[in-house]
Amino acid sequence: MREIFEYHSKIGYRFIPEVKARIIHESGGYLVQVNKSGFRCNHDFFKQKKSPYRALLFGDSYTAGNGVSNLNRYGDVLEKQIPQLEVFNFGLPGTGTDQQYIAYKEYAKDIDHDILILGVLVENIRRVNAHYRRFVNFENKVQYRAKPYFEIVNEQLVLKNQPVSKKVLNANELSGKSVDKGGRFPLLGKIAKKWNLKHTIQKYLHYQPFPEYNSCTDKWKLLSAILKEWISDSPKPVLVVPIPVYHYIEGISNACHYQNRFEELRQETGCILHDPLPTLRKYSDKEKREFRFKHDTHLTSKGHKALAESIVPKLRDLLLIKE
Amino acid sequence: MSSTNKQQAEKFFTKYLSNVLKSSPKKEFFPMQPNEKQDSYYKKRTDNFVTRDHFKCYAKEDFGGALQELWKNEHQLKDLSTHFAKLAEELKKESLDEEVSSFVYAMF
Amino acid sequence: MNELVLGISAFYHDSAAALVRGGNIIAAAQEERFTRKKHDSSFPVEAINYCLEEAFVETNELDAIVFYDNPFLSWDRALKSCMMARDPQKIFPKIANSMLGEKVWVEDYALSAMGSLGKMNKLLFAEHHISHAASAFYPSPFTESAFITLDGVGEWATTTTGFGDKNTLQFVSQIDYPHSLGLLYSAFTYYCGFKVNSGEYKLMGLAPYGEAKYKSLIYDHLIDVKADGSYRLNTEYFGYINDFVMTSDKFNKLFGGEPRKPESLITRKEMDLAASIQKVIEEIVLLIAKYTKKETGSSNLVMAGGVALNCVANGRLLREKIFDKIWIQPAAGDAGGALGAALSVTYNYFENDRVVSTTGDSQHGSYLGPAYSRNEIKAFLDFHDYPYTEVSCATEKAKKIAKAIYEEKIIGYFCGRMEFGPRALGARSILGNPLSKTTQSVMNQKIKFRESFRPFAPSVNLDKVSDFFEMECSSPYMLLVAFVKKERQLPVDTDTDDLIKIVNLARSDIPAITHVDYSARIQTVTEESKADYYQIIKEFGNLSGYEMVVNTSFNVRSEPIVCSPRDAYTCFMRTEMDLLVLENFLLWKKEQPNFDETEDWKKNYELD
Repeated sequence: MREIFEYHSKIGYRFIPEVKARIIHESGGYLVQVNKSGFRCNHDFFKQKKSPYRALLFGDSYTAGNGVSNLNRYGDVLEKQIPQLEVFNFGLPGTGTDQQYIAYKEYAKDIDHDILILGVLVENIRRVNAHYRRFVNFENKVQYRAKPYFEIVNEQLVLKNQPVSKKVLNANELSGKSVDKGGRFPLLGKIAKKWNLKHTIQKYLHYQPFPEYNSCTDKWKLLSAILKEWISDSPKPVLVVPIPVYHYIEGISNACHYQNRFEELRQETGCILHDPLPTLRKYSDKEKREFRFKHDTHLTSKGHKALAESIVPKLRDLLLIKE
Repeated sequence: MSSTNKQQAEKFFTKYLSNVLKSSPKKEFFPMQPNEKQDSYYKKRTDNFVTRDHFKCYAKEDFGGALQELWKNEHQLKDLSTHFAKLAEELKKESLDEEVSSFVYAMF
Repeated sequence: MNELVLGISAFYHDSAAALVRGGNIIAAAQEERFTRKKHDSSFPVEAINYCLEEAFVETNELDAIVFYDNPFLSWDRALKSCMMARDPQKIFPKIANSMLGEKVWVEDYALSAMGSLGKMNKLLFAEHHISHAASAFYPSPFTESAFITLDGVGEWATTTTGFGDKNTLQFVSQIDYPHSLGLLYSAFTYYCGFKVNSGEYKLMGLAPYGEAKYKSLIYDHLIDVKADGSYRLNTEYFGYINDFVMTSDKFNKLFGGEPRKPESLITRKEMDLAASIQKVIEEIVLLIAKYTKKETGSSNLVMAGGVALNCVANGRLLREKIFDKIWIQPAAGDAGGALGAALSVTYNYFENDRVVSTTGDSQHGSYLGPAYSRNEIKAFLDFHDYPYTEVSCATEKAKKIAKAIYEEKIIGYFCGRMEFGPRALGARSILGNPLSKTTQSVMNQKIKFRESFRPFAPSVNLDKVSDFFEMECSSPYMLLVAFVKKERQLPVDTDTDDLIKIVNLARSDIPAITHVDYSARIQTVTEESKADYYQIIKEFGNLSGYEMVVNTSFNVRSEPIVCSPRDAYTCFMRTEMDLLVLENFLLWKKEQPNFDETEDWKKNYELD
């Protein structure tokens, strides 16, 4: 299968510019098209607008659309449902909000737009606090790569690990390093999954996938500091969309903690907050289960469509676009 | 091949196929030797033009029925059709990771 | 008219996928290239993925998906063969597991791999030899043509003859299992200690070293051939009905002992056996060709099936001038079945009109696999900090490569879309100097790590082919063998069975590609078919006076031909190649950092 990412000294990596690839996946596979700037966007990033309205959309794999072809992603569905709007998709799989902010400064600052949309997967709180990220190499071996990150020093964000090291590390070389390995209890999770009990156990124990949101923890402080700086940096209105993981959508876990934190962020920054969770939870259990794949927890085409449909009214209101 | 699958196939053989083989003199499904009396060994096809019909196969849900149709003039095999279909279901789980032998041409 | 049809071959030999739109071949590739497992026969998930990637389409856009074989009829054959065996109980579990447990469920494999079965929501099945015949006829440059397909076995058929006209295929005659030229040749492959399904071309390469001493023994005992080329085997001599090997004790006794052990010394006996079976195959192919000519009246012939890869027999067929023109599917084996099945559905199922290319065939030079962009290659090289020079000017690049070849450097050449079929045709090739006496041994021992007797092939610009060889026509797919011109041949006096000594004797002024019998397996190159490669050969001609280079596949022994820049770089670093060309990036071995590998890579490749 074709490699689709390349090293980037500031962000860590990006898509290889202009790559067209099909990725083998449990869904049968999906098509990836990358623009000249190295983002999985159907448009090249022209400075001047070609449509009446333009949104810049940032996020991780949920925004980049792992598991689905370009046209099925929520950003593309937004374009379909609001024809006057073009969406520049800067989603970069596996990245934290820190890397996305770096990408914004590197590639998006001079692009004319009407609104900036930050699709913040709630899991990103863990990523912004990690200095290394797990990845699976071409031989299917798990390895780790450095990522750029911020630290708060004297109430200021200080960028670290840049230029990003190219060095690939094995698990035994990680001692003492801050690593995002995915999940709170990966080993327990694996065992529970093997016995098909994972979700039953999680529901019974009121599993909280991201306790980092429970209060104003240091980890939340870092994520919110990045978001605050990004929001204040933006010359245009910022729409923050916390994207819930399936535990929240399917009612396995209580979402109030992360919802509270993002509400505090709204109050502190004056950004526009759109929480899609209430809308997503209205669907039937069967429909909600179909928002993710059988094994892969990324959004299916149905999940993307539902997410987009929750955002559309808000976006229309903000841009004063009539239906 | 897993030992379970091997056992299933062996059991099937003993239960069904061995009886067919015992009940009649060995059937000549194809010639095993040259025949000097023949002028040519070529066989002419009756369905010689390739048409849309050549791409029909079988619905996997009705594998037994399709075998019955194929063996409509070979009664002993025809009678085993549904049993073969059942065996196919039983053996289905076996994965395709078996190595191709380097000692024999892969033909089944 | 523009139906998108995906063809799939799997489970027997080389699995592959091919995608055709309205008869135009969009993509085709063998699974082994992606999985890095030689002759991978598993369901071709990666090859299918590549084909859909090349067309950039979703599976639900496919108008039809077709499998190249009918597992239902193959089961009929396998069961009946088992029932004819001496000990059916021994055979049955194996065939039941293989056929009933796996192959009849191919539709499930397809659904699981692709997530959808396209617009038809089902799989079509083409007969094995229909797939072969279609792969030979439809991409050929002929509006009408006779066809011959020859292989080990499909469902029942092992040999077919017929006639293609515009978009139709008509079968004339057929020979059925267990009588098979492919199986006969494989029996000798096995007996001579080579792997069945992969070592057949080694047996062909060995043949010129021997004398056809066993020819009459073969005719007297193993096969009865009629005047029309039809034949029947005496199955007592073969093992494949009663056992899981190719030959029986009777066969072994006839030829004086047990089969040669793989990797043991090749003796005069194996050389003579190889020569003998080669002659027998050639003679039968000629008879079948004459019969087919008589039956069809066509002056054109197309061929496919594994036996059609026997380029020595093909060369003889050409020289005998039974047909005016011959075209052979470059992926003549099972991989090509994927392509044939897709084309057959296009013309015989959807009944599309066929437009014959006016400028040549429709195989696109068989460059039907993936290409890699500048960005992709640069990303790979930059990430690893591998030193390179980028040369964007095509002429300058060709001059640099030609100069390196002239200086007897060995070059790994990776440029454009990967070839479909077993031959490297200048997209994934190792290139060398044909004038050098050492090229053959260096390439065999230091680059390919393979048997010393195996010959190398020349790529020669078409307009110069008759300067060097007894050949006037094109051979773009390296499927024809011709002799080096008499005036270029050098007399050789040898009285030894030592293959290395025999190989190292110069037999012409182009010793690296002149086989022991003065033959060469030729690839003709034109500017239209592959401009970059043509230009390199041209520049080499400017330096040396010979518009020709040595071309062998870019791999080591038992490794599939490289597919990606990573595969190419790895192969380059594991061998003693001097220069790697990845599109416009030139990498010199002496400038590369140490290539550390934690494991012995040779263990990853089981010897073929």
